[in-house]
Amino acid sequence: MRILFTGGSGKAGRHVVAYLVAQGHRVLNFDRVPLGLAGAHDLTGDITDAGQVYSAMRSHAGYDELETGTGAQLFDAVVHFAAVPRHGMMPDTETFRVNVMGTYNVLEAALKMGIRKVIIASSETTYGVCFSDGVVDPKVLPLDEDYDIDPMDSYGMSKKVNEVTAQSFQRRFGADVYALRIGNVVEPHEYATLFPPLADDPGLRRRITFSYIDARDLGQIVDLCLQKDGLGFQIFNAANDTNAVPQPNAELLARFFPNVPLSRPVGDVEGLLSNRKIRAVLGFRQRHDWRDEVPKA
Amino acid sequence: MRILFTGGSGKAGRMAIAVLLQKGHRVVNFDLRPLGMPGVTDLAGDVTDPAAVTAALAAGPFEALVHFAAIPRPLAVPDAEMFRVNVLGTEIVLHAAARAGVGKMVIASSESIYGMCYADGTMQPERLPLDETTAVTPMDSYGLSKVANEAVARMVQRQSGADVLCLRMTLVLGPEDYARFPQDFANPAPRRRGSFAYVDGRDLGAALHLALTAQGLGFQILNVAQAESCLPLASADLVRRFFPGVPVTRPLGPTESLVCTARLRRLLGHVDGHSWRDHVAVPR
Repeated sequence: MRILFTGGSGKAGRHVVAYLVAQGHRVLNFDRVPLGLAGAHDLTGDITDAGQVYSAMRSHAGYDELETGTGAQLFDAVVHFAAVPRHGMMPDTETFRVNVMGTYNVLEAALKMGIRKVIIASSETTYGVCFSDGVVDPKVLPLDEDYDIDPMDSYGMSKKVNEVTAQSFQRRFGADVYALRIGNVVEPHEYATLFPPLADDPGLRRRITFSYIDARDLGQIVDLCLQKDGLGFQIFNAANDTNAVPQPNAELLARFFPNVPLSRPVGDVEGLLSNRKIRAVLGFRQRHDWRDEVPKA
Repeated sequence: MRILFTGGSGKAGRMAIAVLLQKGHRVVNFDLRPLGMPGVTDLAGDVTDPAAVTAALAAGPFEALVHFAAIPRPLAVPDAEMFRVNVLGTEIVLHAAARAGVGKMVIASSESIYGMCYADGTMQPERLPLDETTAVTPMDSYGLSKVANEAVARMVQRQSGADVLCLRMTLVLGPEDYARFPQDFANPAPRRRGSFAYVDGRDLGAALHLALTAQGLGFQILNVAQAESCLPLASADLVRRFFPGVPVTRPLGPTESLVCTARLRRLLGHVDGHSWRDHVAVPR
């Protein structure tokens, strides 16, 4: 497929773009800074400028496409990852502006111009625990997609607004629009430093309910979304099968979430950011369990 | 109360402010254009400009914020600009008010949030009458901007602990508008998109006064409409004719509005002071 990918130069995007290119997709990366990956042309631009976003929807994906002589073609799909990626990087109002207007522009431009598949990056922070002020419990565990999300921070809120924007545009155009509530993204080189300390201090990952998503497995999830048609508007948690810490759920729940009810029994090390839906609906099978990725001492 | 009122120069704002002044409130109107109403201080400014909003709040202290400033309908400006003004404006105003320690905030939401109003084609609601728990999945960018506004309002309430109320206003009308009501009696179809509902601007002001003076409400969403529809026709017949197949969850009064205001009346003690029937002869 020919894919317009926004934010492909970021921490998550660079691995997803590489995965998609490896699967044979043609990717144009629309970002403020170039990625510089062989096989993915960089188009420099700003998602908060609606004119640039509209322009990019129909564009050559590389200089070779000039040879066709058919004019710049509409993309088959848009994957939208560009955003201010977390709380505390910019003033809240600016985080909200960039994420909310950027996503609005991408969805409006893509669907009004006739693209029938858009995948957007939402976030596990919509569950309202990650960037909350103070120690906040989830209302229920594990975190499933039907949770009544009510984040109290502006980053999580921007992602909630992104989801309702996606739902509204999907209803107007009837295309497929999928939102991925992406967990904490772990790049291959990060396992060596990030994971060993968790054996002694799992509390480091309480705010993200101990979850993680391998950046390459995230690539697989995006690819599965690109292949799956006809689902309308969907929200998918994007997480690996298990928690990122070695302690069993019985210990984690008793120690960190003693007052949180369970909606169903959870497996011994099953991820509390549930990935049941992507496994059942998309056929996701994780390839990168952290236990295999952390270098052996 | 000392109230910072955004968008007071618009149709709904001016009618509501007139009532608030009668109730003894002190109003500063923050709007792009002046209202020019005796007793109201006009402060010219743009809700999408955080510095201007912060400066306006610094002219306080204000005990309450009323946020009506918005692009009030689609097709006035391009959708993306309307979405920007409404969504960023509300986020900027509510956060600035929270930072300034304002303990009571009321924002204008809209019945268009239910989706029928500006839908492409004919959209059926999930169920009738429309109450605050009915699904809100509008397909148009204006209704969407109101979904986003309410979501932000809920977050600001959670962050600040202030009372934050969203008023889902139906079509706001004044005495000068009722003369054309009889045009719709024989052909009500054009009013379907508004669910045959309306609110008298003076009653909107009265509801707003109650919302401002009630205590300890936390986060609330409230439909605001007159108790009756804008037509002298049986509501059950309107449902059969214009909303076929839509589940009706309880018996409707003879001419009861399809926008349920039970919560407004229960929570705030609101009662209608006006009706189109006071202004127009009802045909037999």
